[in-house]
Amino acid sequence: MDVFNRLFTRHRDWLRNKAIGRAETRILLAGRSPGDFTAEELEIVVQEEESKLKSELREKGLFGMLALLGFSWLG
Amino acid sequence: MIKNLFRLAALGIIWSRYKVIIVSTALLVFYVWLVGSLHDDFVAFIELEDDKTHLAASFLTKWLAFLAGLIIYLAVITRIGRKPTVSNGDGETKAAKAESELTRQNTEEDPFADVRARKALRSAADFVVEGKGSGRKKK
Repeated sequence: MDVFNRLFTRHRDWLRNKAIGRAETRILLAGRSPGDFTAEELEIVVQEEESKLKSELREKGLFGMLALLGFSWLG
Repeated sequence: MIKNLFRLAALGIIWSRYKVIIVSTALLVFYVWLVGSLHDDFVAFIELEDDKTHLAASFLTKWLAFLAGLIIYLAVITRIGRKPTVSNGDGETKAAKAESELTRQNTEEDPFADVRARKALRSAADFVVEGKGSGRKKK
């Protein structure tokens, strides 16, 4: 559906921008600038940051769910 | 206390985002109920009168009314999905102009423009598999 597509695209754009921001910070901290890298190199760096972000979000979501459920699974 | 706050926040978010959908769905349900009730009343009335000449027409009218309601509902739902656009008189909308300007800036200055445009990003392993090298050409 159109609504779901828009939500998915918005989420993907948000995630991509976050990953780009992190990649840029990482590059700057290494004492280089994004302009020094080729498009492929930048893609690899951003892809890595994006996967990290995804796993962080998954982890946070799981802990959030557990917190909302009151950690009842611990007994 | 915290639980109630969470509930209120979640309800607030849901309401602010899906207000139109919630209201229009409720209206559609009410409309279907109203048409169904009116039709039931009409059927009960013609049974009392024992005159069934308009029975078929009443069923046809009921289903046409349902269909019209559904069409209006879908039109409202799809209309809210579209972004509002403001024309500046030159035939080009402000949103389209801003987007083209942004794209131009992105391709000129942003080294991440290609990355932004890509749907799915490739990892170093993908580059190796594709045979394009590891992506570490310039160091």
